Amino acid sequence: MNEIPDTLNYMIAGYILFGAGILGYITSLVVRWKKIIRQKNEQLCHNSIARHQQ
Amino acid sequence: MQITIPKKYIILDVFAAICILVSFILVMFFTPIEMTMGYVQKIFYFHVAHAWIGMLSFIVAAAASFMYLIRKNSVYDLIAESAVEIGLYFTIIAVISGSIWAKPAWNTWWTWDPRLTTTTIMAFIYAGYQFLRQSLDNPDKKGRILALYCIIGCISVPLTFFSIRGYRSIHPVLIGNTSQGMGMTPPMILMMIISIFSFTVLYLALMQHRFLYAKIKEETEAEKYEMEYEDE
Amino acid sequence: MKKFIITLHALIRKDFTIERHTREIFLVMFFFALSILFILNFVLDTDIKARNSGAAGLIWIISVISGQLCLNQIMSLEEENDMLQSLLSAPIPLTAVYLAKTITCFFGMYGMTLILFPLYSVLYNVSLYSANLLWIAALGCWGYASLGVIISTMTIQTRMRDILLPVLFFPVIIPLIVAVVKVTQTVFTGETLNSASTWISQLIIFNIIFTTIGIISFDSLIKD
Repeated sequence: MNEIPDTLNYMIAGYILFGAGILGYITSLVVRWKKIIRQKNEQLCHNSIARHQQ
Repeated sequence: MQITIPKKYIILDVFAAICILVSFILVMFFTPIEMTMGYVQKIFYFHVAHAWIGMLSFIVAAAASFMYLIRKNSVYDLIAESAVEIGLYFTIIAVISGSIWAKPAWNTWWTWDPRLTTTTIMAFIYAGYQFLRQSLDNPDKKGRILALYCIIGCISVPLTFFSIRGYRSIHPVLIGNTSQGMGMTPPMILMMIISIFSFTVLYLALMQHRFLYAKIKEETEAEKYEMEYEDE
Repeated sequence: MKKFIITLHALIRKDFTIERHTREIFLVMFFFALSILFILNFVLDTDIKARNSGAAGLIWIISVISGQLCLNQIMSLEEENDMLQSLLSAPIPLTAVYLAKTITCFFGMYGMTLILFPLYSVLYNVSLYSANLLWIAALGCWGYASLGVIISTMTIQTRMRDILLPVLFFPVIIPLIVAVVKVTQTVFTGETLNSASTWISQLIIFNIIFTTIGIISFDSLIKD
């Protein structure tokens, strides 16, 4: 058994990368989603005000 | 009106999360430790899955682009947009994780192997696609130009692979010549299939959200153009 | 068909006339290539082995990088003064426009490459003369021009314009560059061309594929 090289650190680094990658992508999606929803709502408000004024 | 994520999307999300967690636990505690490489070999399962997602989504993007050119339906353009973004992301992670694996296994961070090189070039092409998307304005022309670039990229990548395939390679061969491969035991193969499956589910889950986002963004931008037009 | 050729001829002559009057493209491109060739001197220094073995790769890299100037200029020429609009409204097939642009660009590239080969051998004292180079360079330059014109038609319509061309173009042109460098290397080392037959066929396939794509898709790229 002692022939197996000790590469545990590399494995941990790899899995941290995978985790950070997936979570990072999901976070970026959530952030962008919130931003676009805010924009959309602003637009809807703007439209209804415009209609009201007419 | 409040825009919310449809309920049925959540089901797939939860399923994807469970799949990824289960395969992570399986990889950590139930797979055998490779004799020559040690623990680092466990990167392999997720690394292959990432590379697979990268490749799959580029095929999806090319197919969607092709359909867009035929049908002129903007849905296909949005699919291509989502697929390229997710695929680019996963490919980059696959290349970096491969590099982490290569350091202890081959004692080098990088080798000019056909697969590594082709995958990285693929990432370059689709990064170019992203730049192109950002800097095009005319919404009608945008779709056509992007679809064509995506198809050119999709033709060019296999050509690149074939043109450099003769080069010296130390990357393990998974499919085909097994005598030169890593000598995978049945549990390893099973685990690889499980992780590829879980990541495909994750990919579908991410795709649906990214697609919804792209759709709403397109609507908002179209409306913004209209408003600007009205103001003038 | 005859009308098509007349149109093609007129379009090519237009580009050449502009070039003759302004001298904007070829001379600039050529001096750019020349300056890279001189910079190489500081890298290669007295390493005779590198001069010989790297010749094919270096010459083609110089052509690829300086040819990009030609690609940028050849399409943005039309953007000035809305010449593109008048070209689009003219009763000519857009395929002719694509072929005319490709042919003009091809001549520019081909001329430069043919000057670069002897120049390299004079400056770096290596013998690189072979009649086969004539058609190999022609194949390489045609593939470069056919794909380059497509990509530059895309990039002139963006906000970033010229900056985007190398980023989009270089990754997709790699298979062509690999093949043409391999064939050129075979010629330089004096081996028979049979040993490079797969590379030659790949070069030809690349040319056919991208010329076809250009012919089919050019009008959808440029029309409103």
